[in-house]
Amino acid sequence: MKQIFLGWLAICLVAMPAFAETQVTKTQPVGVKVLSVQNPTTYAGIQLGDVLQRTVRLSVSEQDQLNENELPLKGLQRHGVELRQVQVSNESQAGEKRYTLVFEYQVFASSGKPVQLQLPAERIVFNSGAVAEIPAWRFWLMSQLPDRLQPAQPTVIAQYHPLLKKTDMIQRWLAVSLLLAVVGALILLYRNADWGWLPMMNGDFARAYRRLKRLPATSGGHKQAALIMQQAFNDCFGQQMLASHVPAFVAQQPVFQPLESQIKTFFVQANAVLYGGQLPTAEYLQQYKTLARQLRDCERRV
Amino acid sequence: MTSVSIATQLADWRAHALTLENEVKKVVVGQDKAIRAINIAIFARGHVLLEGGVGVGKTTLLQSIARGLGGAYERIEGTVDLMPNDLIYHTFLGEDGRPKVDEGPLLRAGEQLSVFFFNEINRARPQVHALMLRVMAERHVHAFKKEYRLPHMLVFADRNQVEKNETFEIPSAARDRFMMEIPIEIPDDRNLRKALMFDVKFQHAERLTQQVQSGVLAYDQLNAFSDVLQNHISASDVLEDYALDLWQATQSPAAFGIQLDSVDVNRLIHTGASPRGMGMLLKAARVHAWLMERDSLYPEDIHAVFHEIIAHRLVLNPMFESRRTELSRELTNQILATVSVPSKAKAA
Repeated sequence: MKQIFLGWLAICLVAMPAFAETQVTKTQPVGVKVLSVQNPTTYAGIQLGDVLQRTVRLSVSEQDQLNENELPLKGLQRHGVELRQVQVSNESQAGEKRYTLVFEYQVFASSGKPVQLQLPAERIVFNSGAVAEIPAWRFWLMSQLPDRLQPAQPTVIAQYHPLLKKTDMIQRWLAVSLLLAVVGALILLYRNADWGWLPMMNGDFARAYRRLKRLPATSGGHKQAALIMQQAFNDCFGQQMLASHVPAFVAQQPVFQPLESQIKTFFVQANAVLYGGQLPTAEYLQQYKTLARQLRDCERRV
Repeated sequence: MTSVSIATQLADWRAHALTLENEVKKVVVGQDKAIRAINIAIFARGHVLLEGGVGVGKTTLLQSIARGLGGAYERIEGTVDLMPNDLIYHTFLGEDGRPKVDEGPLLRAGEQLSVFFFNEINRARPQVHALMLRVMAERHVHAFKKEYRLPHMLVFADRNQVEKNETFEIPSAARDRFMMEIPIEIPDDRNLRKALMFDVKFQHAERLTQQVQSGVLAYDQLNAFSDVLQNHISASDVLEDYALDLWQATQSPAAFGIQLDSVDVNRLIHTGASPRGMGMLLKAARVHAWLMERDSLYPEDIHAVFHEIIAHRLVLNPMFESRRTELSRELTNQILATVSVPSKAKAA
């Protein structure tokens, strides 16, 4: 019997706190009815500075009234959670008064590691003595900063570039195209430009061509053109060059071989103009320019 | 004279001149350049000095030319005892036993004399040179109390440069009277040499000369035609500048950058070409232009006769006289190679 009594007593001692807690949370306070408790939807990953809102709806008799003096004071901090704002509103409906209390908490706890915090349990007291106990609501606080400074390298997580699309072949073709474009541009420049600083651009006929370009298309200009060409031939041949020297000239400098007939024609025309008293025609200057340019190209091995 | 008749005249005479050349070329081989030069001298009315070794064909060439030219041909041999009067007259005993005086080779043919050949002129004394040069310049001589005119005479002289004994160097003033000094050289062509050796026709000079058509040119009309020719051929201002540069280069070769191997050109030249020499150069160049069927002078025409007309006129400083033929030739070559059209002044 004694053993039965001791067993009953032990059971009673162990079960009593649980029963008491259940009574607080599960039983409705006399004269007050908790209609709803709306906690924050997020319960984990809350960070320092977050504002959490908790809405509580209560129903009491119409004569009863909320004792606002018993409400927790704004700024009250409990375990790192500070009450930021409390808003109270009520309305009468169907012979009862319905209160809506909105608690706003701000998290100021700090920790190097994630910790579990809670919105505190609240006790809402009415003038009639009725009391509503709102249970605590737990949540996890994620640390924003580590609790101490430490080298970043051990915590660095290796990053891998995303796989790139294979563009080797395209790049190769692009490089080849660019190279061809550059080479083509250089060739065009070399062929068509007329600047003296370009390589092989200071030969006898290159200089003659530049001088011919500056001559006016007048009778005097035509005569001067013949003299300029004659001088270029002299310089290139190394002595006074005559029409009879043309075969020796092309034999001495075979690059001019393709133009042998044009050179002979030039000497016939130039001799007529310079020595024969023949008036030059309008085409002479252009013909001389053309010949000078062709000779210049031969001279440059173009 | 109308322009048409002048053109016809020019063409006709050109045909005759080329015929003469071809006729002479038939019997004198390997001397085309010399034959052309002599032809030019004939139409430019200039006297010619032939220069070359012994037995190279100078006499045959001149005899052939003389035959083609027509007119009278006279010849005298230069010797150390030759006196001026030997050219004018000679004395002999007549059939009646009395001494007689007759005209010498210079006067014998009178105005019909077209070619007077003075063989080995450098063997004759300077007194003979003096007379000869006067006749060459004036083309007349006073003898036997009368004036002998020699209007058509051309003097062809040759000089033997090989032998120096008993010779008298022709002074520069005398050389200047000759329009040309033409070198006669042994041809290089092996076939021609073989022909000269083995072809028997070349061994009888007199018979060879007979093959040349005689009287190809009307010698007594050459003076008049020469004037027509000289007036017909024109020279442009460019060519005049070129000729002036050439003249200046004969006087101051260094100013044109002309250099010779082993010789300081600043010390080489004593006197350059004379005005008479340059006048003869242009005269001969005009004939060349005419032969090339042109109405105006080209540099080619000057080049064609430059050596022959200028080289023997250059007066070198005495230290170089012993090498004058070689050096003056080299200098004229360098002048032609260096002086160019456009002239220095216009090219600047």
